[in-house]
Amino acid sequence: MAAADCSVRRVIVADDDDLVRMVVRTVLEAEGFIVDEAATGADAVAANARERADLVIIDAHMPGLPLSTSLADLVAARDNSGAPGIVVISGDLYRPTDASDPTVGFLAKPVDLRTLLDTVDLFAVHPVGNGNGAT
Amino acid sequence: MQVLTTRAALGGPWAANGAGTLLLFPPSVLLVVLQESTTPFPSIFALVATALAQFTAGFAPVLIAMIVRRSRSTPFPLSASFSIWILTAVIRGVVGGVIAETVAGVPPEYALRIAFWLTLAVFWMPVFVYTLAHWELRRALLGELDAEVIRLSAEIERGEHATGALRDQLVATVRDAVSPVIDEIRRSLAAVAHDLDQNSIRSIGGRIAIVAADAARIVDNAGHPRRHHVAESPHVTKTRAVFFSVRLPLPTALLTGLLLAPLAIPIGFRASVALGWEVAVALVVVMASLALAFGARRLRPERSHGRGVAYVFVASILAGFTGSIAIVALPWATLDPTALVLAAVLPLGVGMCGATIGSVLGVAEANRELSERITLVRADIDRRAQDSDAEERRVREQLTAVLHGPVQGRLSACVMALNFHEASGDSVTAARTTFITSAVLDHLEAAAADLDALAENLR
Repeated sequence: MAAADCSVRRVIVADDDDLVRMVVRTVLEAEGFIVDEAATGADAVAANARERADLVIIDAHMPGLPLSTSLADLVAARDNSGAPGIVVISGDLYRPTDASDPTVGFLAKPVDLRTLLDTVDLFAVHPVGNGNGAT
Repeated sequence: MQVLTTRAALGGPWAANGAGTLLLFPPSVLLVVLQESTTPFPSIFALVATALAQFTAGFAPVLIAMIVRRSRSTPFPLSASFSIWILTAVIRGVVGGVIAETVAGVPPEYALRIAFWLTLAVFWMPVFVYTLAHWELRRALLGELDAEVIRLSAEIERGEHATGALRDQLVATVRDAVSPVIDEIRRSLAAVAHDLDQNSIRSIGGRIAIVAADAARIVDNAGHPRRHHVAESPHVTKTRAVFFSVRLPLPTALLTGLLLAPLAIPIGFRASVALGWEVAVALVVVMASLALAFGARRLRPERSHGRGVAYVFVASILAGFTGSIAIVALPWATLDPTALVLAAVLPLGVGMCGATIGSVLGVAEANRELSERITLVRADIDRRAQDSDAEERRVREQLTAVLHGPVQGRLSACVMALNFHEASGDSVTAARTTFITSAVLDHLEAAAADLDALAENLR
């Protein structure tokens, strides 16, 4: 398993497929993350506003808000440290054009466990003053 | 747009051409008969012999020019073309004079004979060669148009295909490729659900990953725009090339008479002054008849399309007959052998001349219109091709979008669930395995149902 940061970090997993949310949540919790789930982009944005997450993993194709809008809201909500980190996860073979921002990560489904944990480790950013300590 | 310049027309292959020379054989025989009508040849065979000899000898410069042409890729300059025709005229005049002197024992009259053929070379050869060059271009253009029309039909068909059939084809391809595999995986997973070991999980996860990737690849690759190419232009008959509307009927009538005058009137005057005037009057009658015939034709333009040259030819023959009647029926008609020969050959001569002049005045314009039509058809093809490409892209994107959520998304979720579960190793409980198996089976079932409903979802 990847060596995720030892401090407790919060991840929001946004995917309209409950099986994906469930399995990602399971592995991240096993790695010591606090995981919140969201089934739409709007839920993910709201959850981030509430919880100030270190990372948002967001599916590119979900009902409701278009990806570009969700990403814009999440990027706008970033603090000085750049939290939350954002990773777009998609069944498309290539990175969606909406996620061309180089500060946004990309994972193609189906993603293997090693890649998922490495990417989470790379993009999770501690929000300033959330009490978890900076990475 | 293909444009044939005057130099390209008069200096091109038809300036010195075997087939073109052969085409000139019948009128040249008529002209020899006319020219020699006052020559006391001992028999008709001598007349035929002089016609053949003049024609054969006159072919020599054409033959040399044809050989020279083989090493050239550019048209002859106009001066070269006229030189060939003038040399041919001189040779014919000399050969005709020699035979007349030798066989009939009359003065050779070289100047007169050469002048006669020079008139033909200077006035008629350019008209003849220009017409043939444009007829040939017309055949090529008609072939091009036919090919473009075939491409247009194919593009129209593709346009219709892009909207409905392409979508059905894509859906069927995806369904045929993916559904059986999903069903098979479901059966395999259900069979080992109670005894699911790490290897089975890895194997089934790998197979689902492959089928998920296949679904994406099929949509990406299938139904790419296809362009229809017609390898070569369809064959166009020579007859079809001369089917075009003859314009400018009055100038056609006028020019036909005026260009016949330097050939026919001197022959009349050579026989007698009276016959000279008779021929002049006959040509005026011919011009008036042609003007009437062409004018009447113009009143019904809708019938002229496609049969212009044929009509002009027949109308000219009939007009020639009115000239023949004038020659033999005028109150002061001489009715000597030359007059009778003139009256006999005039209909055919006027027919050929009328058709040639009618062509030369109409064919360039007809070709320009044809060329414009080809350009329009090509533009239509390009526009339709762009529309079809856009429509095919839209259908693919639509299918990709529909596939992603219900089908690929579920398949990917299955793969991730199985892979993550397998990666958990020995720490997983039997209850967890049962839960994951059940969730994956539900997802596969849902993916299969989504595939079945794919066509409906795209409507």
